[in-house]
Amino acid sequence: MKPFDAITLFSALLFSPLLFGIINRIKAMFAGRNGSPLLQTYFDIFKLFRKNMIYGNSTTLVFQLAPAGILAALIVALLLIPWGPIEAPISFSGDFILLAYLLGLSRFLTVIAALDTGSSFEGMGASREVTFAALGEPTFMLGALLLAIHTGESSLSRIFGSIQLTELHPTGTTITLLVAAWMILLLTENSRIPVDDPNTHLELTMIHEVMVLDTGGPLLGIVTYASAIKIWIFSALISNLVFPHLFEKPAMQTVGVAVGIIFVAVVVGIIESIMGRIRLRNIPKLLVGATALVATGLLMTLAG
Amino acid sequence: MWLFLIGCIVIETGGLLAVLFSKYPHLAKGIAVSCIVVGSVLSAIPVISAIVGVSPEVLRAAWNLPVGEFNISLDPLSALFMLPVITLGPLTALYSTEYLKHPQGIGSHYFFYNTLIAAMMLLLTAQNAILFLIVWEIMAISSFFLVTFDDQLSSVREAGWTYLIATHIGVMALLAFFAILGQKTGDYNFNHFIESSHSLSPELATVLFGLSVVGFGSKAGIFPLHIWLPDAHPAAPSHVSALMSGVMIKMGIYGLFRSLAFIGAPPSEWGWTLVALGALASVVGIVYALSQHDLKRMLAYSSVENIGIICMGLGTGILGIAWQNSALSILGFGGAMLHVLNHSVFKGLLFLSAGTVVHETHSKEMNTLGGLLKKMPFTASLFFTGAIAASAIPPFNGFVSEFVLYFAGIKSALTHGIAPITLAAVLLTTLALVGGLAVAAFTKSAGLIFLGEPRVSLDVTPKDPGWRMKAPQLVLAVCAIALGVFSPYLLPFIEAAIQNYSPVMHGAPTPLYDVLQPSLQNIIIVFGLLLALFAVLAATVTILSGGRKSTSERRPVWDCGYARPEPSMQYTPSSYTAPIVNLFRAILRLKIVRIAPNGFFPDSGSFETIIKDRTRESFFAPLFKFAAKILLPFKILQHGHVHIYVIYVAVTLIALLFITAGN
Amino acid sequence: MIDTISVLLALTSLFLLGSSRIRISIRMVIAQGFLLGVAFLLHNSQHLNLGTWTIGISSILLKGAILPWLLTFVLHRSKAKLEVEPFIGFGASLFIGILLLGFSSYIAWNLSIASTARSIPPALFSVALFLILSGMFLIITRKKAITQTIGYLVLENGVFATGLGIGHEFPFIVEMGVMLDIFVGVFLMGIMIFRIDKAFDHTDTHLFNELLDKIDDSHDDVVDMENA
Repeated sequence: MKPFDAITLFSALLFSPLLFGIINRIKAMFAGRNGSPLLQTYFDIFKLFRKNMIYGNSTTLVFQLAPAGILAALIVALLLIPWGPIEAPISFSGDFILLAYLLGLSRFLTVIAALDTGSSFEGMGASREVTFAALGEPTFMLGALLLAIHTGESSLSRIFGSIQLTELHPTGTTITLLVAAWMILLLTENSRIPVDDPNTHLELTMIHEVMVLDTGGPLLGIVTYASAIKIWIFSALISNLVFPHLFEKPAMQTVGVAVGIIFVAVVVGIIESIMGRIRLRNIPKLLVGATALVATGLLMTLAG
Repeated sequence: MWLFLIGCIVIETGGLLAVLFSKYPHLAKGIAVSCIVVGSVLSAIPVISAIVGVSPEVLRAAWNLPVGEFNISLDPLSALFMLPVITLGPLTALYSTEYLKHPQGIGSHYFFYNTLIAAMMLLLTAQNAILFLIVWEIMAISSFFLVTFDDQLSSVREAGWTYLIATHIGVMALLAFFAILGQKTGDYNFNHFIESSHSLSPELATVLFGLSVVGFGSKAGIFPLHIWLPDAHPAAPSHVSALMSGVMIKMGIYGLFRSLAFIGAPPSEWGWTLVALGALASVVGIVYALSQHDLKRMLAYSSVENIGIICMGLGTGILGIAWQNSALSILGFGGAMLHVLNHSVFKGLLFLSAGTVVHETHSKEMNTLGGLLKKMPFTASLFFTGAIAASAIPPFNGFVSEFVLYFAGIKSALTHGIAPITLAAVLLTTLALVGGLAVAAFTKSAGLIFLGEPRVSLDVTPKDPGWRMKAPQLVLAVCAIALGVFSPYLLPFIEAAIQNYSPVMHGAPTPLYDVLQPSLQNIIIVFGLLLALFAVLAATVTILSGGRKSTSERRPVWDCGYARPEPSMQYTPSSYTAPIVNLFRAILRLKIVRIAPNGFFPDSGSFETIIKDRTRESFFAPLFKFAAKILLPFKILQHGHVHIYVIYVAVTLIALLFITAGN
Repeated sequence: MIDTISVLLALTSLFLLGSSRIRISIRMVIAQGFLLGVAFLLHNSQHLNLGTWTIGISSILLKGAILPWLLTFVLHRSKAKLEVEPFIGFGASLFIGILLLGFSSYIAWNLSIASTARSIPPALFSVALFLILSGMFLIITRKKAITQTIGYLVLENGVFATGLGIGHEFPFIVEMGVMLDIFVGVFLMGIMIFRIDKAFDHTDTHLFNELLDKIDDSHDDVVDMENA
């Protein structure tokens, strides 16, 4: 592992909970409140780790160990994410497939842990999670394919390394479409408004939150941290699409990625402030729409 | 080669002895199963030497059939497909010794079981069309009798008939296929077919390709010829399902791949046909799998999905040949072959674990099961292993073969041109969607059966079975991990198997190994890191909770304040998949029967969703009804009078004599 | 720039396929009108004269303002529900939309390879084809007369977009003729919808069947049973 790899990895591990802080701050600003501190997620995680464990009556070892697996899968997935000019610690041809499936592993474990409680609410959340995730999967893959065709490369590091944001068409249009589609994916996968409301208090409408309804103490701490890493992964992907390519010097590009990640969090905050949740039955439409965006980009790349 | 033949004979002898000793079921069982084990071990030696590249021996013997010849040979391709036979064969046999409890029909059951295994072994080595067809038919018949083991149940008999009809439609196509080939080339040996394959006209070759897809596809369960699978697998005893789904349906894939070499250089349309069929099959298969609430039927539909994925791989390989892109073709075929091996392992495992559940609870109905993990932790953990592998989630073997196909898609896209990019888009979208839906299907089956609480209280107390049922599952689970981790080392052998048999692969410059090796090695590093990190984190969590054992407690889960939560209130498998089923209503035939509670004091109500196979209901059923309408008048010929039957024979004989004399 | 506009046109059409609100559908038609007008002016930026300016501006006005206004007017008068009622669900419509777009790109690709004079940018041409096809799709699969009218407009936009590319060789006589046809069509539709509204209280053409014969319950898969 090269020194830069270590730096990017550790900054991801260290700063990912900050994104929730930023999102909440933006939402507070829109609502005219002061809002919770930027570091609130860290406080929450520390608080949770000091608490006792309470397990549901019917839970087994699956419930207890799943959070560890979720976190492991996501941390390993972080190793595949490049940081602008700095290549990912592990980079190979077709690495985005492994990335998608590592996220799949974390989802599998989340769902399994939810089902282990035997609670009907958690079953409901799990059911929704797998439905929407299955529809989101093609969006990610087609997007990666679009990038691969566009740049002629097949690993994330090299794909992001060879994007040239110089012309409006086809690169500009394609990237814009892709950013829009992956933004929808980010909102879905991380259970944000308009797909899911992370702050809702009605079990019947929740997706992700309801799956961890009975998770508490250190386990909830791990799950919270894991979801911070997950949103970091998606933000980093979107940021890598645009921000490093606005600058010339590698050093500036590196900073650009960080700015981009924060920017994505700000955008998520704004979206959460100005939009409401859409009806559950309309979410598949949104996801098919995201795939349609990518497909349009793909076809226009071919035709143009 | 002799060793291999001796192995076959030992297995078959075991079957015969089982019939002889059917008065003593335990003895019959013991003899049959130990013969399978001995036979498999004997034939493992030549199989492995064929895989590692010892030049294939050919065994030919004159035969008193008009055109046939006893001609068998064990080349790398045969050996590759032989691996599942000689592993799953003995493992399922061992499993069956504990699984089958009733002494009735044991002798004949093992006779057909051993015959099926021996027939598959001969089938894979047959180098002559007539021999091939004969063992193909033996395989079909013996598996029919295995499916109808519980023939006192009408549902089982019906499933058996569906299977028999479906398989014979296939045999019909195969007969035509080999008859035309033999007619055109004048000989029925496979190597002769290959030599004269270039002399076929393109139109005839396309007809032959169509026949082989129908013929082999009906055995493999390629959509829409899959209709026998979801009926036959739940009807058959579980070890039979494991053998049929893990091994026998792959014989169709073997035939399809082998026969490609007989019909000359493939045009791209063939490839597109297989890709389109495969994509359709995998999506339809997994959506049906999702919607089932019979555990074994769900696994059967998942086989339809996996066969679809394999088909997409074969189609990609053919397209690679048509586009003269050897890297693409070797990735496509390689992915398909790897998936054949992987699917045998995890589907075998899943059927055996599901069989254990059925064996212990006497129920295949997922809606009534639940919470079995606490009763049978061993079975549960192995079912989970199979489920993760079947959802193609790392770090198990299912992921690796799907990765190879994804990789083929990316490689195809990078060559530019609208057709390769279309292929890539189809491959990636389908695999991604199917992967996502597979997660839904397998979290449903694994999660809702083993986790939570039992939805209905059972009359029996399920428990983990004895070692004879456990050991085979354990071996398969280990294989599922090993095939994932050691896949890079398997590639050269798979490549050897492909290289010899696909028609245009001669002198392919890009070995599979070189293309894939860097990626696969990185993937294995990631697997290692994943497991290590998981171990560390899991240990931490355990210590955290163990260290405060005194303070960690158990409470009821959140019930929204309802005072009397009951296990029957848990989310059921049907409700779990309802959102997806609703999304895919265009594909599924969903029927809802509901009795709403009414009145001021409503007493009872019910709600039932029935999902029927649309292909069966809307395509095959009308077709067969139509056929019956046309053919029914001919029933007049069948009346039970022997002397009139003899008249038929005599008339035919005389007519034939006249015709021959006339010539 | 034209390529980017083509992408936006394709997106508006996809949005139309997926949207369940008639108002949003009308807005998409407005957007298409503007985009097409701008695309026309850009495409003819070499020979901008009074004629091209007139056509450009008038098509923006007509497609982007007058026709949508007419539609909104009809929508208000007919008191129909503001939701699109499809025969085929929105998700499935979107999916079919992607397939249609793929098909049109394929055709455009083949034609642009075949023709030596590449006067039409392939992206624009494929989108033009897509607009025509998706317009037809909307007409076929939507129940209400007003949504069908929107379909006609999209189809007409497609014809206009095709005309853009071959504009130098074929002046706008063809195009204006089509335009007029459609205009009359919309006008008549408007009156018809109004009349239909008076007569039957709704504008659901699907239910014309009621005049003909008793239609079957479309949910024949759902069996409701009396409680025994």
